[in-house]
Amino acid sequence: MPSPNDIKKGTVINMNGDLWIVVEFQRVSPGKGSSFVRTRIRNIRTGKIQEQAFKSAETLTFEDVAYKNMQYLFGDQTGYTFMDNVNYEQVSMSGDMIGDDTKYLKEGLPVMIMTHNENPIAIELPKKIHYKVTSSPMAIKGDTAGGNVTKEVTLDNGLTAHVPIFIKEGETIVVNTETGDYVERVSA
Amino acid sequence: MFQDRTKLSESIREFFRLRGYIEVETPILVASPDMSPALSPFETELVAADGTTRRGALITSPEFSMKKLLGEGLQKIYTLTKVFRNSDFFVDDAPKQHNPEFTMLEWYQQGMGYEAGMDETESLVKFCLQAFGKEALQPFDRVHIPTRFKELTGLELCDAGAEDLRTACMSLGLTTDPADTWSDLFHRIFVTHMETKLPKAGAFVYDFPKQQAALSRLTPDGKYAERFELYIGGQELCNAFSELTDGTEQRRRFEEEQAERTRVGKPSFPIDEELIRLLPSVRQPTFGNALGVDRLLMLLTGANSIEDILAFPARKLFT
Repeated sequence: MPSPNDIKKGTVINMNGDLWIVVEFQRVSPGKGSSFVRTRIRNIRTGKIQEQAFKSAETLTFEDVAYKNMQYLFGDQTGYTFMDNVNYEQVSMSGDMIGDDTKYLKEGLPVMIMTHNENPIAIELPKKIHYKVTSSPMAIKGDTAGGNVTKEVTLDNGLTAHVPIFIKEGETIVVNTETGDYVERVSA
Repeated sequence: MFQDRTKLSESIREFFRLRGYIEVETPILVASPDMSPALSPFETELVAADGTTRRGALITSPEFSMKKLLGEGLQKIYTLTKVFRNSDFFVDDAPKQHNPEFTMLEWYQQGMGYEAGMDETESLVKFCLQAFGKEALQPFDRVHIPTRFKELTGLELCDAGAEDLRTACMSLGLTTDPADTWSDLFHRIFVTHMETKLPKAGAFVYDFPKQQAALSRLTPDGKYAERFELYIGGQELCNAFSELTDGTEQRRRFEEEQAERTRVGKPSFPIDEELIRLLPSVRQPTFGNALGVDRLLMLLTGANSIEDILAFPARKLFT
C-alpha cells in the first residue's frame, strides 16, 4: 500500500474521489511527534492549490499516470496548446493545470505531458531551458543586495531573470526551471 | 565544504567562549537513550570481556548527559556532538533536511528562562550569519502558538480535546486519519497552517501544548509548555525549553513514554535513574537549547539539501 513516504513531485493522490497532484513536498518531524509529509497539492479538476499534511504512518491511494513527449505550440484565451510530434495530435490545457510554469513556456519547447486516463493533467518542464535576452538595461551599479552583482533582463518569451551584469542583449542564457535562477551563458 | 563547516564551528565556539560557557564532552553510546515515542535510536549491544552483554543505544541527543552535568554543579555548558536517529533516512533524490547521523549543538544555562534563551539564540544565529558575511537586520518574530492557534480555529489550545482538533482540521480542509492522536491532529494544523506561514527571515514559535512538553517545565498558569522553536526560511533550526527539574514529574513522563513506545511496538529502554536523581539539583529556571548545526550550515551557505553540505551523506554509504 502506498505510504506518504513514497510521495514525489507529480504523484497523483486520490482523496475521496478527487485527484490531487503533488506540486511540492517536504518531510517534517515536528518537535518530538510523528513524522509528516507536508505537501502542496493541486486539484486536477478545479486547479485549487492547498497545503496538506500526511502522517507517515497513514495509507494513501495513488493513481497511475502516463507521460507523453510533446511540444508547446501557443497559448490563447482558451488555454495552452501542445502537440505530439509523432502523431501530430494536439491537446489543450488550462492555465490552472500548468500553474506557475506557464511563465517558462515558449514556442517549440519540448515538455512532458502527464496524463491520467488519457486526459492531460499536468506538464513537466525541462530542468534547464535556453532563452535569448531581448532587453537588458545598461547596468551601471547593478543590484548588489544579495552580495552578487546582478541585473534584471527580459527574455524572448517575456520571462524576466536576474543575471550577471556582463550579459548583453542578444545573448542566450540558460535558466533553471526549478528555481527560476540564471545558470550560465551559452557561447554563440 | 570543510572551510564553511570550520568557520561555523569556530564561530559557535567563539560565541560561547565570549559568554563564559565551557565546552563539555558527552557519551554517544549510552544505556538509556531518549525515549520520545517518535524517536528510533540505533540499538546495539555492549560485549564485556567476561562475555556478558548489555543493551545499549546511540544517543538521539546529548540532553540526559548534559543535565547530569548541570545537576553536578556546572552552570553554563555547551557541546557539539554527533547524534543518530534511525528511520530518518530517505533514499530518493529529493532535497533533504534529514540525515540519520547529524551534528547537534546543545547548550544550557542555569538561572536563565526561555525568554532570555530566545534572545541568546537570536544573538548566536546572527553572530554566525555575520561570520558568513550575511546581515540580519530585522529582529526575529515571536509567535505565541496558542494565540495563533485561536486565530486559526477559534479554540483555546489548552482546553481543546481531540474531537475539537479533528473538527478544526476538517474546517481547515485537512485530512485526518482515524488513528490520529491529539498530537497528530495538532501537528496537521501546525505544519500546514503555522510553520509555512512564518516570516522567512526568522521567527520563534513558543508555548507549546502540554502534550508536547517533553522535558520542559510548564508556564506558571500550568497551561502550556515553556518551549520554543526557531524557524528560518521555513526550516526548523532548534528546539528549546525551560527545563523540567522535578524528578517525580520527569519519571512520570518517562513512564508514559515507555508505555506509548510499547503500545506502538517500539523497544523501550530503562529509565536513566542517575538523571532522575540529579535533576532536582538543577536550578530553576534553567534554559536548554538543541540546534541542528547542519541545518544552520545549510542556511548560511544557501544549500538546498543537507546532502550538499555533507561529505559523506548516508545515501552514499548505504546504497
